[in-house]
Amino acid sequence: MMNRFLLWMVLFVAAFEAVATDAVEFDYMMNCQGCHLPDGAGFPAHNVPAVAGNLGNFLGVDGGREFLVQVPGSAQSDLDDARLAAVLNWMLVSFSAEQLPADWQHYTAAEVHELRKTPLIEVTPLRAALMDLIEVKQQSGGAGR
Amino acid sequence: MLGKWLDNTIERATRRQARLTSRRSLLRRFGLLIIGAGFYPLLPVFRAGAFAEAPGIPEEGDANHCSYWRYCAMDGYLCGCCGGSSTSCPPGTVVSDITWIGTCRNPSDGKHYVISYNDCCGKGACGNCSCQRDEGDTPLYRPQNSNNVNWCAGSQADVPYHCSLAVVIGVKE
Repeated sequence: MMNRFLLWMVLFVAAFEAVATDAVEFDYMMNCQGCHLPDGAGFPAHNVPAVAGNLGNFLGVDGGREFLVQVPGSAQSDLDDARLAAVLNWMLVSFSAEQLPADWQHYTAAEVHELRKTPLIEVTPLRAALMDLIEVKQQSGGAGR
Repeated sequence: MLGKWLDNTIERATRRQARLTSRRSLLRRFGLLIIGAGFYPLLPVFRAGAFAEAPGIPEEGDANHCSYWRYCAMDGYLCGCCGGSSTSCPPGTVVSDITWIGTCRNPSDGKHYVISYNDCCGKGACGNCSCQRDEGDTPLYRPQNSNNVNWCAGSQADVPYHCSLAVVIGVKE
């Protein structure tokens, strides 16, 4: 009887033991989540772009793939090239899988390394231009994939 | 062969069960469960984690004191001293979703936990339990890790700052 009680206690404690956060999600938390929020919703009313349901669209237009790396929140983060590539890939799949082109390629550390060398000066107009391209593409029926 | 073995096994188990339990034991145990479930939430344990947090974080220290482990990067008034708790905003204020995120080491288990320092907004400054530890704070030219930003500017209630929370949102491996 005592043994069974102990077994239940062990199971009870094990069930509530804090589970370590996934390493990629940890990097997202520490570098992105403060503004883009846990579900990627952002806060468009206060100029924090929504990542969810949107991010994958950038890989479908010219210049979008570069933009996701060069945007200051990515390029100037504390993450090294490999971890930034991993976080971007994780965000694309986690928050915007439906918008991804069927033939999209994962970011690699080498690609991120090259793109980071070129900082963006006019971020807001470039983003607006890319959003226009995305909208045109969606209206012409090539939505997403 | 297998069927006979199964028959025997189940018969033995059933007879054993019948020998060892009374007819009303289910009633007794079920009653105990109902009463126990009612009493469990009344047990006097620390419940700072009652608000949208994973349970099971080992705790020590006073959540209404600046020395509490979760406040390692705190810069503001502790909501626990302002009518709320370390994880919930006081009445009349709105939590800012956009926030400062950092890690603090929990002395109870030595692990580094990811802490979200959400501000509570919409009322004037609380003024109680001012706490400024700033560990890991960066200058304003790296705003994503600067706790000196008024994060209420990113809330539905906008600028008025009242107090700050320290919500555990993850554990570092």
